[in-house]
Amino acid sequence: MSVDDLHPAQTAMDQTVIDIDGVTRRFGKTVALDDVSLTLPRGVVLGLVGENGAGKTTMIKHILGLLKPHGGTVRVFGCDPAADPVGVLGRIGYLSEEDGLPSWMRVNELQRYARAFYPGWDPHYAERLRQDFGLQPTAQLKSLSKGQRARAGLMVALAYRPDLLLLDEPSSGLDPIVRRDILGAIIRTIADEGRTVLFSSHLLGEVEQVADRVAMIRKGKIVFCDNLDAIKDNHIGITLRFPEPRSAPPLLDHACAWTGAGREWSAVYAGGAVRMEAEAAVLGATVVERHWPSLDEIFVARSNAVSAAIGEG
Amino acid sequence: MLSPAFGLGWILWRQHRSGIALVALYLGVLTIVSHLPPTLYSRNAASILTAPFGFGLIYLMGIFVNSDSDMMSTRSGYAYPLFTLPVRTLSLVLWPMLYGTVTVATVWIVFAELVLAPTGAVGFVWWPATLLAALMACLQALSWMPFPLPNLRGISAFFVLAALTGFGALGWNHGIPPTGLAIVYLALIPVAALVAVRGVATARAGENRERGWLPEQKASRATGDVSAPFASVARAQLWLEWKRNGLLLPLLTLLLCVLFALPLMLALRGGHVDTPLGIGEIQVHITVRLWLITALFPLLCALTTGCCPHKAETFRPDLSLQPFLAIRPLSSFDFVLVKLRLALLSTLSAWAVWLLFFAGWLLLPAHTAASHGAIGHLLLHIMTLRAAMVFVVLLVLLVSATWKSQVSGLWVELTGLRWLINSYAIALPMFLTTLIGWSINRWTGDLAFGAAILRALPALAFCALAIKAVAIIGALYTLHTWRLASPSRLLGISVAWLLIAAGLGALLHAVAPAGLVPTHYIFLGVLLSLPFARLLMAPIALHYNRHR
Amino acid sequence: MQIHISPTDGVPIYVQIVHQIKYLVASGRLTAGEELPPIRTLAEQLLVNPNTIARAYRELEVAGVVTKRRTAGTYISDAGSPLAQTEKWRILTERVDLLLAEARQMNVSTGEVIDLIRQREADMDEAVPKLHQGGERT
Repeated sequence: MSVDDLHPAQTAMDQTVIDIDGVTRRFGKTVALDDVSLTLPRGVVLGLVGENGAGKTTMIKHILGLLKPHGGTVRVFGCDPAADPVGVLGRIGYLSEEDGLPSWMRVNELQRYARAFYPGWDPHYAERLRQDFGLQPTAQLKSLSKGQRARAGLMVALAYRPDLLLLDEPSSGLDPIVRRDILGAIIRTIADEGRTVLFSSHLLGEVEQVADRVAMIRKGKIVFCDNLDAIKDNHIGITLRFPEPRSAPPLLDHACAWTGAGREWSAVYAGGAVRMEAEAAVLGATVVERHWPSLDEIFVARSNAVSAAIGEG
Repeated sequence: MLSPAFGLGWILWRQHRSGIALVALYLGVLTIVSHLPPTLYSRNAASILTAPFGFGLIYLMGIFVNSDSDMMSTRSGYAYPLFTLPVRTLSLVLWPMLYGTVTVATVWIVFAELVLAPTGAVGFVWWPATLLAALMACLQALSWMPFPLPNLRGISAFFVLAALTGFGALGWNHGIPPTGLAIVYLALIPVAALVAVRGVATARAGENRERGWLPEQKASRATGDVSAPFASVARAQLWLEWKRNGLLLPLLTLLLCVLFALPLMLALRGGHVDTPLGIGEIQVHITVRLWLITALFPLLCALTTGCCPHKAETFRPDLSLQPFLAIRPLSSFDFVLVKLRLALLSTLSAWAVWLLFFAGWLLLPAHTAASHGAIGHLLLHIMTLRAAMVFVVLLVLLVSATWKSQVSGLWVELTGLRWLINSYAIALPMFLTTLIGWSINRWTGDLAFGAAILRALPALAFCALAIKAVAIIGALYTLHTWRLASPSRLLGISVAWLLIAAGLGALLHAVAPAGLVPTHYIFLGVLLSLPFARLLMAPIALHYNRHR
Repeated sequence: MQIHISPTDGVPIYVQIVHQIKYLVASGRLTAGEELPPIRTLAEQLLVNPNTIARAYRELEVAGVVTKRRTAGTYISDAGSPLAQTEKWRILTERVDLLLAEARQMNVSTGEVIDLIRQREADMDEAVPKLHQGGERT
């Protein structure tokens, strides 16, 4: 079964929502994004993962047009978000870790203010979200807890049913109940036909739950960007047993994060099952154990692999 | 860190070292200049160079106050992160207070001894140093203590500072010996310290002195019409801006009017008539003329609020547009239009406040040689049509100037570049003060120079107009090529601007005494003083800031 | 229908769902003709991407565990379709291969493995009626 068959929504509506092409961005001497390319078709949930400072927020700000690329192009719904903010921003719902909501506003004032900007604002839906989230209409935002403020931000980002939902670390620092609300919002958003979600997160379990596609970014470069199923198929947690004890991990292409000693060595192999077996056979090792690595393991393994490569280079 | 004392000092130094270095450099330059032989440099010019010294002192005081919040808020302005240090509250308060008082006093003494003394400008050194130290300590105490009501901090600061300086000035004039003044001021410092320690301790313990009834009262008002949607996007944005910044100007005006205009009005009631007033032949108390100065209050307030970054932005290390606003689907051009409308709304409210007081003043009794009655009534009798027109035109000019002073800095403020904003808000006024002071000095010393300036004025004005035209064309071109506004819109506002300029020019021409100023100079002046290039640059600045 | 997802476990979520539904069927907690919740409902309940649920349902359909009725949802099938039979044997062969490989690694003979399987079967038969009683009581 090929990967594409799994996503009829993608093939049926072959419409690109986000098209980032060769984007480079520097802040002073630091290179925040280095020749990054990424496309996101309609109806897909993309999870953006990476360490702190890897460039996730920078990338999201490029999609919003709050930053302009120093090289390359950004297209959202086919427009340059920096040149046509009105056309693009009206179709994006955005929530970030730092909510940035004006603390003096009240919940109902926030609703009223945001409503003016979006023709698609659904007052009934907004009201339902407010009630579901347990937000008092006259509560001042500064008097709310962090979780409640996140819910208020989510309400504003969802109430006009945006074509693209952009969430920048929406759940970091929040309790599990608020996180469930946010995940539920993502699920409901994509369950509505043709809506697209891009969210960045440290909580890879969440990414695994809701993402169709995962992009890992590190030091401003995309390490991999693929469908979650393909990533899970490609990456195998293996333990190899060698006829003789070894003092150093074996040299195996696509294998990273070796641990072990003596005859048994474990790693995350990133080249698919068929090739792994062939290569293990060449080394004279037997595969004594294999498991599905979690996204967390893959993330850590690939991060270490890149840093090792950078260290060598 | 070696000790809390060192650590607390280091934090202040590390944050502001470039500014402190600049002040030190300035003092050094002043010292050198004032020690030059008088033949090289006129004594007057040297003393004018010292004019910006006041800004330097205010800047230094700002550093040591190191306030996190603005003067109108209720919560303590003490830098909150420092509360978590393993240091006693006493140290948190006393060390910065010690540094602050010693620094401002030392800077004054250095200034007086090294700069003023050689020019022979001043004979007193020590008691102003103690006054500055006391001011510093009181400012710190007032900024750091929590207040039960919003705006109370600003009001009390105003009274305390006015009382402190007023006491010094009056005392000096009434022959209180400098030692006495110094002792009073020095005695005030421990009091301020005590108040500050108590305030910071309260804030550090997380106690809030805000009264409960205030938010509730606001809540009941807020529930009114929130269900009705805004008529337009611009309305919604205007509402937000008004809630954030709009009330500042009318409130400041109200404060000034209550503080100064009202006492003058009351003083007038039982007043005896001595000095004839310029308008017609009404004879009223001298305070009338003083009172008319209050017509400058809205403008003065606008100048002070317009040139500094808005309070909501002083907290944040970077001044880029907040994402909350930046992600709203509203074009940068429309954002700026909303800002202009807000300025208009603020201006009109401030002037409405003043007009209320003005109306009150018109009702006050006065008398001419012939009759008694309310000032307004008497004025009506002797007022010619021309005088009324002059009054109206003056009012229009003042209102326009108030609006202008609020919006002409937008093109700098909206860039979000801190260095540009700071230099615009601090360096530019300093430069202008120095320049104007210098020219006046030259002028009074050398009449030929003044005449030369007068002769060159038309040419200078035409040069300025040419520069302005180039700037306007450049801005229009940029707006067009960056697609910030449609050509028809640009054409529309250009035509509107020209019409307003023509109208204003015609109005001025109508009221100006015939032959005083040639007509084309009137129009030249109007074209030069009506802001347009800067307004056109504001959307460009915002666009830059919003899409970096 | 109770399904528990462990997103940090590593096993792809659709596989977890497939396994658990198969287990529910095998243990009799889902019976033939019973309807599975619609994709959207289950997605919102488990907070899982609807595409993942859809994939799990497709896998189950291929394995013959469920049948899709046009416009009427997904139902547990009566079992015994030829496709399901071959799939069954394929899955079992895979498992047995793995089991034998591991047994060999651990020096356990095939006879001992068969004994172990018998033993487990007896245990499971004891366990299933208990489960049923538990279900009735609540």
